[in-house]
Amino acid sequence: MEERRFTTKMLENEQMLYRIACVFLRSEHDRQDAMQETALKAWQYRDRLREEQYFKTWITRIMVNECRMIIRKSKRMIVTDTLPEQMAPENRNLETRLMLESLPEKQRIPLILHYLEGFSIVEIARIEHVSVGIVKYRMHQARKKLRLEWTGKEEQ
Amino acid sequence: MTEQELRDRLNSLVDVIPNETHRSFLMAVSPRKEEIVVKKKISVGLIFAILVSLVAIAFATTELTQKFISVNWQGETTTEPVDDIDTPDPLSDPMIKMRKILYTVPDDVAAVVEWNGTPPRVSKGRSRKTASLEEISYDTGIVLPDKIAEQDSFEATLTCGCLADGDYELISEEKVDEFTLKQYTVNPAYDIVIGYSIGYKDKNESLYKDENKYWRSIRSQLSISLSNQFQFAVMDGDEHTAESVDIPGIDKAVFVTRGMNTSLIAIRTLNKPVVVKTKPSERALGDITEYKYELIEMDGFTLEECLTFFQHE
Repeated sequence: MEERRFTTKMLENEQMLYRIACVFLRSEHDRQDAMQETALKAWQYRDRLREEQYFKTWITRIMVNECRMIIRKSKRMIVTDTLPEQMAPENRNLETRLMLESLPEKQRIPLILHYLEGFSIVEIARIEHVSVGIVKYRMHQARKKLRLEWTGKEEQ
Repeated sequence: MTEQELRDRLNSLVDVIPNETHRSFLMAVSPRKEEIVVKKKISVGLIFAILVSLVAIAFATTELTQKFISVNWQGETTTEPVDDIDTPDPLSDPMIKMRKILYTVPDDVAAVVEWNGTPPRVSKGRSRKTASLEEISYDTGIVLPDKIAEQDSFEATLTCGCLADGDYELISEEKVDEFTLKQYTVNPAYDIVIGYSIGYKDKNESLYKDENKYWRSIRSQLSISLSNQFQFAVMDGDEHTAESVDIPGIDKAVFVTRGMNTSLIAIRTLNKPVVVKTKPSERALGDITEYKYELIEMDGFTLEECLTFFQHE
């Protein structure tokens, strides 16, 4: 892909990428890293994108993988900036985060992509490199868990 | 939790992208100057490589044009290298008499080739041959006297001999038909004499024998050519023949033969035939060292005749 075209496409998708980063990552520093790494890796591997029409799903996959890697790294560290938030569960956003984080990664990703950015099941399957049926199953499982958790909280 | 509620909660997690993050992202996706320099270097290298390739192709093409397809009298084509076809050295290779001529006339383009000698044709009624302006060969021949040409048909005995130390030695003597090509292998150190005797038939198919013999010494020709092989044929001196040829880039073309004089009349773009002929004074068989060409429109033929050639092919 031509460089200018690449830059244009990246800027077109900047907001979408940042929104995903926001949901996956709490720290602004991590989000910034994810954004930068996504841009750099996308440029590095741009030749692997054979059809430009799939740019959005392709760049989303890179971003999701970056977020995934940052989350895994952070789990091995003591994340100090999240502790205060964890200490204040009354925060609605924190509650949402905790709910999402309670989901397995495989279920969380399609749920976020679908309900936050409106990706279709087919597009999510393409992003996750899995079949449509698996995406449907994972989303069903995610919704089921969230419903249970939500119901439990309401009962509390 | 409804789906809409889930959407709302997810959207509530999203913040406006901070300037710092936006700038860092912008830097990451902005054009990369270092790579641009590399690309420019590659582009310069690529252009250089293309130029080298073009030169190589041009050289190869030049080499290829040194070859031409020779169409012999039997209609067979052979490819063989030709040395300096455009500027033949009379002392080294006088047998090359073919000239390539491409005239471009304003508002009318006509490509015409004329060579002095027999045409690269076989006989009437043969299938089309494919030739191009660079693919015309030369053979030599003998034209029958005009008085014979007035008859309907003829028989000829072609005789070839040599003079070795003053003694005549017969090499070959055989009956030939018109345009039958005979090839002889001789000692180029000897004087070669080629000749023929003829008989002709009138319209009543009566055969009359012409006791006269026609001889021609071709010693000078052979000594110049340093060739131990030569070809000869006998042909009618007056009859017009026209044979179509396919020439790439030319709409229509015919070989028009009248005696030894053969013209290629080719028409391109406009249907206006242009004929290039040698001057009559330079058409003698032995005159092989100089060929000057002049452009004469429809020389020897009327426009109607030219069009007739095309119609009859």
